Amino acid sequence: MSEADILKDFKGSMTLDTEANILSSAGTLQSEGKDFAKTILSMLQDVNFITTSTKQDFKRLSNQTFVITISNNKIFVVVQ
Amino acid sequence: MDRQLADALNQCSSTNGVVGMVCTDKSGLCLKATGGVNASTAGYYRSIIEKATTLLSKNEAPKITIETDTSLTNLHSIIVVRSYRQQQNKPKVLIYH
Repeated sequence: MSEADILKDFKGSMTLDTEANILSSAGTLQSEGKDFAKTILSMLQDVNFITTSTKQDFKRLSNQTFVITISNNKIFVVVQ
Repeated sequence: MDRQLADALNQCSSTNGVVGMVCTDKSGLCLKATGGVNASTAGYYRSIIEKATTLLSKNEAPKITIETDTSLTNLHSIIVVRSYRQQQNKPKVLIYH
């Protein structure tokens, strides 16, 4: 079963490792390449500096289009 | 301009739940930082906005939220607003530039 089968409003998703390698992608993010992944990773590195300096635990980063979170050393991007 | 900027930030800072704000120029230089926001992070906030802009369509300005265990930080264009979570877990302030 694909993500679109399981999730009613599924638009797209992507999974990255901590070196911006694309492990999997689906939906609207299937056409995105390494540059997209590197941008996501770079944003998270900036966020990491901010949250580390303020001694906070990062949960998620989002904008109008994506929600990005980290779990088990993997980066998950979901289109909302 | 400094007076106008200070007035705008003071007005936004007085919003309930807002604990800090930072305003940067396009290069990430901190123009003003208030409350609990460290001025040294201004460049990083700006960097996040610049990178998010590349992910969106050309006419779309990014609206970014950084969620942590204790705060919500909203980034709009050049104004960054940070607020602490309420129990209802809702964003405290949205500032539109």
